[in-house]
Amino acid sequence: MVLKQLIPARPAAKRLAVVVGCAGLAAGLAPPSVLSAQSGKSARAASRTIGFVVTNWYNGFVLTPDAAECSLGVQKGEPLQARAQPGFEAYIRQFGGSYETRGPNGEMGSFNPDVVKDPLPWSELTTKTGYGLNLDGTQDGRATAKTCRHEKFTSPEGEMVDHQMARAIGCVKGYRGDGNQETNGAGMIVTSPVMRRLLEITGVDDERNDPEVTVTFYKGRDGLRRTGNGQKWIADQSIRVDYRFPQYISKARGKIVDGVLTTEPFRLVVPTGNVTFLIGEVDMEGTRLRLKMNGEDLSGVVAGYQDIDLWYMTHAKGVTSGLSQYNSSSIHKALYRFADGYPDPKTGQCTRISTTYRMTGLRAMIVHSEQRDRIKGIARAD
Amino acid sequence: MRLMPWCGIAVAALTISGLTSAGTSAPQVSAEPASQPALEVMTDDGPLLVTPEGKTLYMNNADFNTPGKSNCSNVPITTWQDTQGDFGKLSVLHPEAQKACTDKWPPYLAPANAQPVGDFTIIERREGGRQWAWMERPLHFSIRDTKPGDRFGAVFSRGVRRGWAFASRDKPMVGDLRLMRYEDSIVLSTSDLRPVYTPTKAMVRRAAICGNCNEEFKPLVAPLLAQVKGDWAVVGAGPGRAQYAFKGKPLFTPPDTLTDQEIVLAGDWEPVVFYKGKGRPGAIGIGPSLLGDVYTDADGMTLYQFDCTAGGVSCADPGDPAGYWAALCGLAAQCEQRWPLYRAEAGAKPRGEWTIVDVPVPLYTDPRGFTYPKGVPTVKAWAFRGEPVYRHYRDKKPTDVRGHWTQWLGFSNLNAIRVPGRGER
Repeated sequence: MVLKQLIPARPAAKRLAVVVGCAGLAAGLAPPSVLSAQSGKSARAASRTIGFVVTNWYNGFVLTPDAAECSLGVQKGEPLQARAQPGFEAYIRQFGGSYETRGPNGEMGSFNPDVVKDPLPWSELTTKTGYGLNLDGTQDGRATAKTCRHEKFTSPEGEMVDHQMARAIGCVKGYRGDGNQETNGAGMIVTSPVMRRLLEITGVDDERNDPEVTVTFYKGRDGLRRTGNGQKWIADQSIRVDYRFPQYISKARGKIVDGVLTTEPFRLVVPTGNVTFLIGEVDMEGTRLRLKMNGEDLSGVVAGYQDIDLWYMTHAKGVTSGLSQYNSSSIHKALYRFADGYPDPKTGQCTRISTTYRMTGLRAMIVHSEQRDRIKGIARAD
Repeated sequence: MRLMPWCGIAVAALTISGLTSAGTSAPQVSAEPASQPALEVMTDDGPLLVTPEGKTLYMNNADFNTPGKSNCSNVPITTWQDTQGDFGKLSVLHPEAQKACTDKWPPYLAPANAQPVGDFTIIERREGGRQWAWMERPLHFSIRDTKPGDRFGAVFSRGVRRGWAFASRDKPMVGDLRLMRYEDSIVLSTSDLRPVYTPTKAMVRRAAICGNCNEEFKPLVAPLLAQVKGDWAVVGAGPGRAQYAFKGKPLFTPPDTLTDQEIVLAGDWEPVVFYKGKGRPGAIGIGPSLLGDVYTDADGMTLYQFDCTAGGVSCADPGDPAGYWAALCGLAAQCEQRWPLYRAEAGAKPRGEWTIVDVPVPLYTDPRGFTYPKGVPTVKAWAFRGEPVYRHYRDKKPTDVRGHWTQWLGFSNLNAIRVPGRGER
């Protein structure tokens, strides 16, 4: 429909070539929903569209060797909690079970965190330095209409920032640096169809400085490829938007200052996981981006208030609590103890927690087409 | 001489050995000699071995590398090795009630006077008794099958469930083609398990517009003088080339750049059906999820199934320890709230692999006891391949799969039910 309006009639096969080859350049090829979001700038002939594919996405923690920033070192995971639980080891040796089934009725803490108690003490994150953005706008973390009182971090740049997720999981081995949750997550960007994330900037007049652009996250449909020797990502790959899942389209107003892209707060929802095991969603209200564009590359932070239930549900399924030293019940309690966003109007308990991810991206051609366009020659033939 | 509609070239349909599809929904018994202990029949799961009485036969994957020997013991395995938690050897739940492999997979015993015939041999069981084997692999029944024609012990053509597979032969056909499950049917596939395709009628009509519009789909080429028979044919594929056709449909292999889901959604190519399945009831749908296509309820919400293995055998059967459920969702009422059964409406009719079963509510009364307690009322629920299906309380939108991979590592899990052949890549 859109193509027919914007492109002169030509043989069907030629038309397809236009879709694939120019989609990243011409805002005019984007679906109506994208066009409408570009406000007045969409009419400017010079405005361009820039696409990126996410190449890495990981927790933005400040880490020191041997977890020196954690009061008791890394958290004690489920196996150690099980050993410390009075009578538990003798019980499972007699009646069966595993270190994970510590509830009064044999429940796993991962799925039943309220009924499992961790006997070993919590290791507190003690560092005052953290990555993130000042999401609540305060310097002291006092309660506001949308936030609960909390302690702020000072970023390496000296900004007072919010990142309470670091307090909840920053001392869990699996989420630290080379922890298996982190490395699995990075690997899934390549291997998992679920983790294909695209970021598109539309209405760009000047890539270094532009006071008004539109930023959109999409779920991608196509895999990311490396060069032949596997050492580098290939830039400018054509990757289609996965329009089967409109719930994973998130849009924001932004600007570019000295090559740094920032946005106004928006709700970011992206799928996460792997088709062979865990599946979940990252759902962050009040999300803001600060991403530096440097030629083909993009890097920086994505920060917002993450839905605690969704986060926990995803990670409780995915962690191998032995390898990750994940202590389900304590983490669940910590997530709510440190929650600092979106208080429940009835109870006052915050339901979201400030979270900072670091991400990198690479230039890509984002293709806004129906899947059938890939079958040569039949695009829009009807 | 047959005139092939795709290319308009008349070619000879010659003879070659190969499978012929039954083409109907009813299993067909092949013309094997009656004296054999098993027959090959065509089913919704492909050609499978069944006894002369029609009972489905299974093979243990553990026997794959030990021809002539059974690894399915009559002694229960009551311990497991905990490597992650470093607790060493631990007991399974209720070791005193743990079932042995042969309790769940009874051997197909041969009479005392039985003699080997063809590919069927006889092995001596360790506990005594003689067991039929097929191509050196011992044959078993599944306790999940209660009547001839049931096939609840395994999944899909050449698929493995809980370490067991249907007794079937991976029979290459013309062009090195295989069979694979695709939705409820059996389709022709390449050796790497991708369906082969043929143009839909709409595509054939469009061919007049776009010319060589199948260039990303490669003809399954055949030698010009290939001999085929029955449903198979060799048709022209351009100057000097020929390709295989099945039931008059020219066969093409798909491009790597397109997933099977994408191809089918486009509507221009369709998998080549070898055997049409029985379909599914109106109460069961299919929808696209992050995992690929999944089965859904009538409202599009994802359906899940419980699975469990302990001591090398299933712990998902009625009467197995409730603790494998309780580990995931606690007390019975809580489990019921988190994983509500998909109840069948009055008058609902089973169809294909979807049946209606009686399930006790609650599923267990004591989380440290056993499932399917006596004296508990039952409800009618939909079942996929004989086992009840559930929804997940966290799923808010159609085809959400938030409950997928709820698992107690190494034991029990609840997973979304994926549509065969429609996975995400």
